[in-house]
Amino acid sequence: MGNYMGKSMKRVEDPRFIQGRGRYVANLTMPGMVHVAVKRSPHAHAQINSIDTAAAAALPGVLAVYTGQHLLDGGAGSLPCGFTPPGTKTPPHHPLAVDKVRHVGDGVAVVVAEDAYIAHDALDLIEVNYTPLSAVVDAKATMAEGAPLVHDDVPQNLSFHWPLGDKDAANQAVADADHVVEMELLNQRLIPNAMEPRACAAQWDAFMETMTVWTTSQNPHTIRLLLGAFTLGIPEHKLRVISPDVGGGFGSKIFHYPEEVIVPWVARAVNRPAKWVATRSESFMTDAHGRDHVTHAKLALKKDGTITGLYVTTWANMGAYLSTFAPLIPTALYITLLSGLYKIPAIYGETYGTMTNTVPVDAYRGAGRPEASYVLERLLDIAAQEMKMDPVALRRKNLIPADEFPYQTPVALQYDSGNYPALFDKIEHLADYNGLRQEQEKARKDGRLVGVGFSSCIEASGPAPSAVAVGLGAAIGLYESGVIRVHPTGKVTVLTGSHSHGQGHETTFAQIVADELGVPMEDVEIIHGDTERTPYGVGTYGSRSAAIGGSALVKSAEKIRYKLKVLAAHLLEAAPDDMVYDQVSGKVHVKGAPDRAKAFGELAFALTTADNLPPGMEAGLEETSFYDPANFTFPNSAHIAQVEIDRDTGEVTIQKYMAVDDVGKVINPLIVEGQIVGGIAQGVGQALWEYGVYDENGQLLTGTMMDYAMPRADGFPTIKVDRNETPSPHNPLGVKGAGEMGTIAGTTTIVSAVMDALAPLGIKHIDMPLTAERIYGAMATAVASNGGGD
Amino acid sequence: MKINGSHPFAAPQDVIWPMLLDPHILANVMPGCETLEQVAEHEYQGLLKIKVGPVQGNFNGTVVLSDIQAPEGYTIAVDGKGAPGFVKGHGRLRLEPHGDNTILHYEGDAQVGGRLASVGQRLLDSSANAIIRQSLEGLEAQVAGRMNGGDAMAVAATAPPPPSQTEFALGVAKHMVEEMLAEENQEDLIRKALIAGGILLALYLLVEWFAGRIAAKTARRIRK
Repeated sequence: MGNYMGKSMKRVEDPRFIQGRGRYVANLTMPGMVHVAVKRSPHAHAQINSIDTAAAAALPGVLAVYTGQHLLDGGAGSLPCGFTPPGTKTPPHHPLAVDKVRHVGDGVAVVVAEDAYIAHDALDLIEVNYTPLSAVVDAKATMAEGAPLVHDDVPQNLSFHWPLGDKDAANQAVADADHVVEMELLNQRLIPNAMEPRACAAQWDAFMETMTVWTTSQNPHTIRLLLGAFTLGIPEHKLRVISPDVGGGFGSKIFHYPEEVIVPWVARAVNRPAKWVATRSESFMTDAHGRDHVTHAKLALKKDGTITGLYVTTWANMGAYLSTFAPLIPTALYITLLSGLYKIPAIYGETYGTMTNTVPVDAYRGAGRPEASYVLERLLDIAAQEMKMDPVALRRKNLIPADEFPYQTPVALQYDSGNYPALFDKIEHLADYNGLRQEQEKARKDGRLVGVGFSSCIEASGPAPSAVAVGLGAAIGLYESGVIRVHPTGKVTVLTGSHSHGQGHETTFAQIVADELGVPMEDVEIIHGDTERTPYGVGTYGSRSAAIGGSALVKSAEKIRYKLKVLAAHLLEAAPDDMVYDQVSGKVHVKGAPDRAKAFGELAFALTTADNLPPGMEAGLEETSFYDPANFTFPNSAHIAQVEIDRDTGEVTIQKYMAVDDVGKVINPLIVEGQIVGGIAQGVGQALWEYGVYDENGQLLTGTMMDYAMPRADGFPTIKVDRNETPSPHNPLGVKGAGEMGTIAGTTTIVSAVMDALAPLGIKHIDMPLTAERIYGAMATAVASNGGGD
Repeated sequence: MKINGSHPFAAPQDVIWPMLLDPHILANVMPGCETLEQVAEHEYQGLLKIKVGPVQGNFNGTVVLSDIQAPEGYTIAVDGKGAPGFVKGHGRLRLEPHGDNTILHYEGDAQVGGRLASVGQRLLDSSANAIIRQSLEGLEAQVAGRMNGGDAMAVAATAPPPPSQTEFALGVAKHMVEEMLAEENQEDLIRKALIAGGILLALYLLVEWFAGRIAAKTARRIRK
């Protein structure tokens, strides 16, 4: 069926991007536009005594300087948190700090000026008198007695405690186990670094009393909802939010940020269009960061390697304020994934969400699931090492059998589909796993440090059944909208609530709709990212767009096909049930008589002239659907890598990387491969290089690209990818999420490989990132204490 | 950031001690120090121009001396802030007689914040040490002047201006090389460092020259 689905099509949006014709917020200019710059705190934690803005206000070209108090008095509300399990302490988060600053980069004042340079110059003229306070930065240490309080009304700096699973059963399993692996793991803080820094612009129409906000968001409708109901106080029908082309998000552009309140507030206050564009330094110190977990974990096993239980306690750093979805990540997207691909009879997980004097932490590509996979896969690797078993064989022993789907885990989720043994077969074959092990043995004899890494992982993607999401503490349902609007000539405009900021929706969604209706792809235009053009939608994150946004379009297409069949039956004087919709040609014909047909364009036009419609049929051809999924989708993967470590420097070289992923049905293999490979690179970045570091005073030490090491192409071999396709049974496309698999697996696979290479030296674990310096240090210590093991 | 070290002076303790309390002398020997004025007993206020890597700007600050044990030493607290961030530090200076000479020991701890920390952090240790070293070398020149019979104030008045950016950068490089040498002390390394330094200097001069030419060209074009 269809002309486009399953085909590798080049992305239709790319010509405009690679020719520099993308339309980003920063490109926007409007007559009379003013520029906004934010004065930020150099202190991690300090009382604000006074702010002297006189000199800044006096600078020629400066229109106004506003402080947090101005915004507060002017009705700007506290930024809300959209996921708060019962008992969560949600301290206020003012767009500009009012009494205290709580992290380096916390905004204290804004300058509004005729150009951006004047605005930035004026920042240096603002005098803020602070009384510095002691700061706390560590997720676990922040709960210690006597630690400074980030918010006076959050005792122990503990925002929430979230337990899941059977604690007694997990404890019992550990007590009864033949073998227990117990370890403390750090999942370091990451800084997202989307290529396009955040930006926001706004225009107030004083006559219509309407506000238009342009923002670099992954979910403009959510931002409009929050602006309307909480922070800006302009009702939604007077508020339009547009996310035009957005240059990457990786989660960091989901959230409602202070500048999205400040810029429209300023635009209204000075009655001129206003714009703010983040500098790269501001990105580092104000974009929501990712990960930052301290975890204590115990894995219980029988002598033969059968897993009997898992007990995990995690301290998750929430930063100085609860970002929009922050508590969701280390809870419902983390503990629920601790079962992995394995049958684990007893699991208990609990998370302490703690406040610190650091930038808020929220979803970052993978969001909770990479952290879960890392804990489980590290435990399994160490178990295999300690029990002298092959790590793949140990995992195989515990896999959920293919005939046990749907599989109910002990941590809430029900896996819908999968064939994990087949997945393992495929990756072992693709990577020639036995060959790699033989190669390694030979290399080790030559004194070389060669490692083979393996990891398998599962993801709950496509959030989420709304009833489940709201039941867990989400403030909104997580369905998606899709409109198909057929014009009189048969051309098609598609409006989706999803948002594309690198995913290629303009291509894949056009493939879906073209095939559903049997029209050429060129006749289909995808519109997204504008609350005034598209119906209310939830946006793009959690690998949800194809599974939920795509399914909404399928449902709308079904309604269109039905209407056209009834119409064609009327025009051809046949019964509707006797009509066949040919999805290749777009023609509707009488069953058994392909000549008695009406073309798609003919029918669309008939609905425009509307002079000869069946009784009761309305004119026009436009259908809207809101698709709410029955479950998450559960993409899964198995990756293998080979690395070698330079004994003299500790430098890791990735020699081979192979990946097999099950992302269900694939709409566009080229795009999926790009997502997987890009995701792997991002995951490897965490394993080897990236680390967002705060010193003990809360100063961000990695505030530039010189200090924060991003992955680069020269660090990678050609990545070999393959697929193991098991369609999702509950969405009409059979698709599963493809956006985050690579990131989840990339991290664990490379850590597994590096630790495997170092195993002969007696090194069991090094916390990420596995930089040359850390590896060299561990090797030196190992050699000093045991002569190097081998 | 921890700072510590010592520096010998070819003068007795009673010559060095008053100089360590004289704001005019201190202002003169410290690179980038524009002003340093006494505002109360043992309290000084000053303006320091700092450039650390890409971060530069003026710092306004106060220096408070306490626990003064003439002529042995004092505790010093520095509190400065400016557009690039803030510096907060405390430390102890101690003089130790050594025959006719005196050794100055110093140790301290400094905290920085803002752009200085997030952007300039990698260069901070080297820069701080270079500032201290150049200050001490400046002080040494003053001491030599005084030992040769000159009036310290007169020497101060004729003291060379604070080092230019290039001189400061070279000072940082010198300090780094010396630190490497202290650790490794290999002739080979010295040679390599000298060669590397030479190449860097040549490159720097070349770039300066080009930049100058481009600037001149641009200026000409603008005039046209």
